[in-house]
Amino acid sequence: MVVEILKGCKILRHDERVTVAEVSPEKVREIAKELFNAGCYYSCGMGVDERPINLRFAMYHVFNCEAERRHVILKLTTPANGLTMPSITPVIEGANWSEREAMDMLGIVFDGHPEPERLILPEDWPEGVYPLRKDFPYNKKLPPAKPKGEKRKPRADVMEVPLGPYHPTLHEPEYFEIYVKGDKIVDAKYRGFHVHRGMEKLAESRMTLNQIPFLAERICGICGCTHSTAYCQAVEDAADIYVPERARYIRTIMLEVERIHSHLLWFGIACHLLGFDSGFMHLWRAREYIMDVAELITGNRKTYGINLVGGVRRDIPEKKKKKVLELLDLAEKDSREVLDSVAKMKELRERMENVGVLPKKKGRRIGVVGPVARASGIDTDVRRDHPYAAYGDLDFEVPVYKGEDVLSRFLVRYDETFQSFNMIRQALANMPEGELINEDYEIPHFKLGIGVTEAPRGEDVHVLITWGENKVYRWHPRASTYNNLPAVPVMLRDNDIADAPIIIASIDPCFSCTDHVSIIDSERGRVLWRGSLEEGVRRLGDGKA
Amino acid sequence: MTPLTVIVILFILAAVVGLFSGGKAMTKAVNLISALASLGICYLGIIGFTNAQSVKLSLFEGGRGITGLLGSLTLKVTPLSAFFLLILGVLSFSASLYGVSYMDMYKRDTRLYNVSYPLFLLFMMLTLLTQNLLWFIIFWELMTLFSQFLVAFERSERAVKAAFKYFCMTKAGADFMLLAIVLTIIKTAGTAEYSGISQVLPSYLIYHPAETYAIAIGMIVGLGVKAAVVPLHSWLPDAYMEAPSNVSTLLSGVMEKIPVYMMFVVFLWFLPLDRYLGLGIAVIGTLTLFFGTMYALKQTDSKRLLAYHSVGQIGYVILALGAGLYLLSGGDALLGAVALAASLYHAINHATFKGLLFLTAGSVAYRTGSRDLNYLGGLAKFMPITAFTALIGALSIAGMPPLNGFVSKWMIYASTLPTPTVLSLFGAFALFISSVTTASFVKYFTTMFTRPPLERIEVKEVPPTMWVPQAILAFVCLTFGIYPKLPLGLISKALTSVGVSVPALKTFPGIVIPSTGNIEPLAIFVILLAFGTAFLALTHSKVVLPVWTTGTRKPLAMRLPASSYYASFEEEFEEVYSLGEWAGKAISSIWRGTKRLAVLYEVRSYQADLMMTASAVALLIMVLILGGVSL
Amino acid sequence: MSLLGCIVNVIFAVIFAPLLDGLERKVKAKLQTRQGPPLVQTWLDLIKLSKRPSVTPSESIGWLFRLGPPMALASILTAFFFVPAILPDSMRFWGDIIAFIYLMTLSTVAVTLGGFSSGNPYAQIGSHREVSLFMAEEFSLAFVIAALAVSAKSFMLSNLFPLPLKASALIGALLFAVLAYVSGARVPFDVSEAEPEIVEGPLIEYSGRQLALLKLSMYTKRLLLFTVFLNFFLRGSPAVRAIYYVIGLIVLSVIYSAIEASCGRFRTKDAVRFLKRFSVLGALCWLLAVMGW
Repeated sequence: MVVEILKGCKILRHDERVTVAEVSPEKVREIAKELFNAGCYYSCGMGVDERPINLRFAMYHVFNCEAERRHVILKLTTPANGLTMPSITPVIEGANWSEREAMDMLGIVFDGHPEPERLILPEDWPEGVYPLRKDFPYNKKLPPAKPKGEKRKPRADVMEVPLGPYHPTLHEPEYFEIYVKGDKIVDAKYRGFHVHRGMEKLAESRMTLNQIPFLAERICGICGCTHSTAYCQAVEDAADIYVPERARYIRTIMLEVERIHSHLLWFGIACHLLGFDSGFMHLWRAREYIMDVAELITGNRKTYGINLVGGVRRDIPEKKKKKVLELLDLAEKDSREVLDSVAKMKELRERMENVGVLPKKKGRRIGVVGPVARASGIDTDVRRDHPYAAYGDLDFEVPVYKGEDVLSRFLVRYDETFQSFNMIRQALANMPEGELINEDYEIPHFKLGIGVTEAPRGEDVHVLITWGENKVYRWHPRASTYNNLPAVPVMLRDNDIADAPIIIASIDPCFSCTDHVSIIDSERGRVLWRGSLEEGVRRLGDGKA
Repeated sequence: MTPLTVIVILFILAAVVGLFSGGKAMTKAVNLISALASLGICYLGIIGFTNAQSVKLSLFEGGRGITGLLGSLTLKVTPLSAFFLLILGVLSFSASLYGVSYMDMYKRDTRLYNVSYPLFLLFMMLTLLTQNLLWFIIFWELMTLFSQFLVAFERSERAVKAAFKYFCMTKAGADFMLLAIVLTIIKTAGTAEYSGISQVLPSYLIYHPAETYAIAIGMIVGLGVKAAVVPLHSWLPDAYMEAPSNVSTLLSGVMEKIPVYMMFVVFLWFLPLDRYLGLGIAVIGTLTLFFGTMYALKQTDSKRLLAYHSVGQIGYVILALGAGLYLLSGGDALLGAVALAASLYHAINHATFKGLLFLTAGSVAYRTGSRDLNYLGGLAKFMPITAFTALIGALSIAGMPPLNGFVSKWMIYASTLPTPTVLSLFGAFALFISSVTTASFVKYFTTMFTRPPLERIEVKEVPPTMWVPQAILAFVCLTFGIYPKLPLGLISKALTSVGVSVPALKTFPGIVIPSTGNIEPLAIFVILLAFGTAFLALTHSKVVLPVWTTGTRKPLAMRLPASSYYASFEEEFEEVYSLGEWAGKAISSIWRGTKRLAVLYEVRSYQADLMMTASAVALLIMVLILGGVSL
Repeated sequence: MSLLGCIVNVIFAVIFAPLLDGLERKVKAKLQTRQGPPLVQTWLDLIKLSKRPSVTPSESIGWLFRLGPPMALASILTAFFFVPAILPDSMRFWGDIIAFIYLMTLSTVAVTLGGFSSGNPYAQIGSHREVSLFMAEEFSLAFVIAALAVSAKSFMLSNLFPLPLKASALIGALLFAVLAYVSGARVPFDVSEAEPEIVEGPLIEYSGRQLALLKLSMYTKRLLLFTVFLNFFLRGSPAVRAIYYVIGLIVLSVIYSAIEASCGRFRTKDAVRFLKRFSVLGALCWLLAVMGW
């Protein structure tokens, strides 16, 4: 079916999991719409400066076709002079942010984009300077530019409340502007990317292939292992590297350990935001057992550092297995007890039911992923639809709820947590013997690879283009929250302002996904300096900033 | 030349002089003369407590019937009327002084104001002084007439509509009152003098309960419309909003109290004490205070908010009156007297603090040109005196110790709550509504003066002729709060003059009602002051930083609009508002039905022969009745 | 003698209230399987706060902002002059239960006005929520007070402390205990200071000594509510009474903090709805009192 839609385009790659097709600009909207109607939702988009190769800029649109269990990548190119492409946002709502990102970072102009505004770079970044172009060195310093102000007429009966960047309800800086009438939220605006660290640029410029998994792990504190696994899978896909079975099983076990940890953390935060601090304390106590499991296996409580391209670094010997199973039992018992009593508390249920509703159709159009999607009746899970690591061998269910509210998201995560416990036990029981890593591979030159995993928050997609010589030409990690954030203003409307924290938290936001580092003099609002993380830290240490 | 004559002449002089020109200087002159006359009224009030001044004029000689009744006009200052004269005097002085600068706001011809204002004051005074029921109605209607002109002063479409509504409702009410008065005069065999009626009527009416209720209902409706009790109150918000602020002060401060004066006269002097009457009045009072204040919570226009609160606070006065009647007729002399005293006390308190609040609303409108609470804000920086006096007014109406509202409300609770009757439930509602009043005035005060405005407003303080009256009234609020002996002394004399024996309440330094309750406002004031200043001295602060807005510097409208205040509370108490809406719908459907009937009649009335036949039949019936033939 | 006793009561209240809060924090911690801070922690926090400078926001109305915390604390301490605490001395003729209610209202109004004067949007939201909750609570409290007044036939404190042994009086006192829970801004009713939602509400701009006074006023308010409730029952010689009083305070603290640890927070409309339904119980209690039971 996908092949039929794409006939007439130049197929660059077609195997059992991935199809890459180059599409001409006139036909891209039509093809994108047909793909969407066929059940493929928009996953992410990557803009690439391909001028050193063929004097053109390219945009890769990635679609996730669950029905056919494949990813479809549409490639558009445009010459360096006359840098425009038709925007597919009018037909695919989910492409909004990806195209804005390409506009911001590469300067590609998308014709027909309804909101061509800055997404990632701050307001006082000078116009016309595009960081991800190949001619922009990663450690270049720039003077700040004057931000353009906006003129708005305030309404007499509406209060505008700023939520962020520093607010106790948010665990990372982000900015929501909430418009409140009475006690109800009538509208909300989001501006994020306060923690943009320039990782993509760093990875292309100065890191080697096997250093990047460790950088990827630090994209996010809670879903780090997923990111490093997705990256490794992308390289393995591009270079066609075979990963040994034992390594796959170990990756699976660590991924599920991370999932349980993340969900228990989320339950604790949700209780705290609803005012129930006792639940928060008890759930984080149960989470300690999981962190002990991680420390036992990998030596680290959280940032596991276990992935390399081609396999894993550490093994799980037999004598550790018994201890791990004991700790898992303790964790499962405690968390089940606490979660069951939380779910029974009437005042907490009332605050979650019919709050923050995301209708199924809207969710599909935006392209939400993970528990947010599954709570709105969208049956999608990368582990089942595009099996990776050892998921093809494991027996598990994907919970889908139709409630579309915060309570449904709670229940989805609840079911997933206990499924994960089972999966870890299965994996430990059936783990085959064998090698831990396959280091016998060659990296081809300029090959596109894609690695997709199901993080606790949803689908993580890493698209990359290899360069040979142990480097990457372009690496684009797209974390799941990127697709879920545009749904937040929809969820916030018509709810009480007291529900705003729990609604924002219900997508399990992990904002440290694409960010930069600036040192800002907040007193006078001037940006003093902008650059890479390392440089910034050094400057702060020298007292220059 | 008694002081009374002087005052009358001054008012008439002001009106005549004001007729000549509508300019600003003339308006100021009119206001100044009125202020002077008001001082005279105060003097009259003060001396009225000790020696009763009276002037008797014989207008028509001899004569029987109506002319005989109208023939003698006696104007006498009794202690009860002296009390209300004091209210009138203080408030009209403040309003007149305020008007000297305030009327500058109106660019057009102010001749209407120049004439109506002194005459309005004059007729209010005469209404209080007259001792003849028929002259009372005449002065009452004249007072209403001139107040109407003042309401319609701005001549905008809304103002005229409001005045018209006011006119219709008070006229209808006055007609009820006229019927009751006629019945009274018939039953007392021809006197209209208060002294004559009070000697004859009570003993007669004890055996004729039907007639008692008839007179009572007529008077309640008539006086109730003027006093704006629920459900007769709908003219008030529009009228008070449209009138100039100093006139609103007088309307709400004094004109709403004159019906209370008359109610005291009628129910304590003319009619016998009746339990059910007292209960009925108490019920009306509770309904008024509940619905008036709950509706006030929703308002976002400063004067409309104050107008609804006027309705609510009169409810307290009426509740206390009804409770007093009920308790006295039940034999509880102590609590009954306390309730009546509370009623009078709350009347003068309401006059002071509501008058003050209307003046502050006027000051803000004078400087900013706006009454919209969604738009205003942050004015305390620019108008500190007005803000401070408004704070005193707001705390007084909320009933905070040690201000005057607290004492009168306390007396109302003391006389209703501990009684094992339904009055206790009414007292509980009064207690709840006191908290709603507090909330509403927190909203009023903070939206005008403290929280940031929608867009920056920069104004100056009002001129002294405007803030001096506010300060005077604020001072009275404070004094009546910490030294209740002063007003209670006057009240006791007033009550004694209508035949209520006031038991020897211990009133200094605190108020002690034996075995019921006690309060010492002065002590509370001193302790609060001591602690307050001590802690204030501890917390000096020298560091000034911008407000923390979670790290963003965007210029957002980060202020709570007045319509958002208490939104959740209003949502949950939706039943109250829907009851009001339902009542409104019911009335308008009755009105539509009546209009249809009237149209039907009107259509028929164009048919001459039908009308001729109908009139012939009516004439025949009348002849038969008058001719003594019983049908 | 009486005045001296009252002063002792006030000093006791100021010293003991933060200790009571320390006890509550310890109880909550133990229920959450934590160690918890030492009992004197609240006092240490207050002392630390009083060493810091107070910051005034530049967009605030200076004099009103400064008046908030002192008036809040002053009104609560004034009430302690006629509500006996550890010693049975009180200036009983200075006030009765109505004065107690109004002084507590004055404390709320002072905090609210201070919050509105700070110019901070979160303070405005928090303050108006606090007033909404206060109105809803007074709806129930009015019925309970009416019931107690009818039951004891007066509201002089000498007649209410202790209450007569009637069913309506006892039920009224129990309902009062529930309202004391609500009035003390405890979870689930701490809507005005919900930290994750509106960042501490009216308290947000206060710092240093002003914040210390404000927090002290909150603790003494809780102590005042406990004191009134205990006074409904305490009788006997001064020494016996004092012992029972302290034991009563500790027991009430433990119970209230245990309930707090096991509840989530209400939204404003949920809290108002709860109080509206609760007022029915108050009305029924009043009915019992009027019937003489």
